[in-house]
Amino acid sequence: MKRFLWIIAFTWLVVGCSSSTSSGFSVVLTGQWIGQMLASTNIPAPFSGNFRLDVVQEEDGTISGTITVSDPETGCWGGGTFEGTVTGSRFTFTYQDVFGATVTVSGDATTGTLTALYTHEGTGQAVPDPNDPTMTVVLCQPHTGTFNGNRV
Amino acid sequence: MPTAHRDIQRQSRLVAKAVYRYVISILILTFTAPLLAADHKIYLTAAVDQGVPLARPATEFGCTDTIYAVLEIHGLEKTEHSLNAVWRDPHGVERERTQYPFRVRGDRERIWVWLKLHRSQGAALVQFVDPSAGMGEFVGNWQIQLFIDGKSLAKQDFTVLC
Repeated sequence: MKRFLWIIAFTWLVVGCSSSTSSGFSVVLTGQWIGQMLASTNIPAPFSGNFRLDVVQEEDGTISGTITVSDPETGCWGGGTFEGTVTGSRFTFTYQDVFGATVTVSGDATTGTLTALYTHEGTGQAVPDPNDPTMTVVLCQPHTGTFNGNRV
Repeated sequence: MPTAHRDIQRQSRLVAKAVYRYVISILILTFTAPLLAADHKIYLTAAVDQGVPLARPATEFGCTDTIYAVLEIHGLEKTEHSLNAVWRDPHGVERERTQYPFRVRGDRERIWVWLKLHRSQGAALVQFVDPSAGMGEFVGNWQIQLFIDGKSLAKQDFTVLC
């Protein structure tokens, strides 16, 4: 009987304790980034594309989310998951994209605008088109740029 | 005391009361006018597409849903504002308070806040037997109250079922 009561008590503790809630706001920003790419001739060439940023603000001041960057002309793309900090409405985060680029982004969720410096320090390869795996991969040259977007 | 004097005193009190009411009315109108001018719509939903909640209002949610409260407002002054959301559980206890500073850029703004319920880790072990394990305290009628710039805008009730 005593053992049974212990099992009941343990189960109650395991099941009943530590349930919790969390809340926050999320921001989706989309826009364009404009920059330049160091072409194979070492001459900077215009380079631009689109981006989408999904930010979720966590309650402890840590933000996380995903960023997607695309360039429709060359097929180069980037993006990844990130984690950063937020103070008030200002947020800063760093992520490494699939090409090994280190991207530092800072923005303001209040205004719904985002500006960021994108610095891609090395070359990389875009993954093959999933619809056509035989498609030639695209080499992406080092490039820099600035994101400018608005809240959705 | 002469009757005339009492009449004067009574009239003075009436005038003072009228002035007091007038001042109070002006003060209330001054502080609430920006919100009165703003037209708004509030709804709850769990339907989401690429991180953006959809305009599919619902009032019943499951324990595993992320519950979004969407505020569509227009006519709000184009400056910085703050949205506060207070989430009250079925016991009337404030469980979460979400603060979101935002700036109005256009005539219409659509902003949202969210709530998630987390079961205890231990309860996850037995949820296949009882889906509401560890979530019992969350089951029932909830309420969210939204404030813009510290002023109550609306309340919305919803139900959590497991």
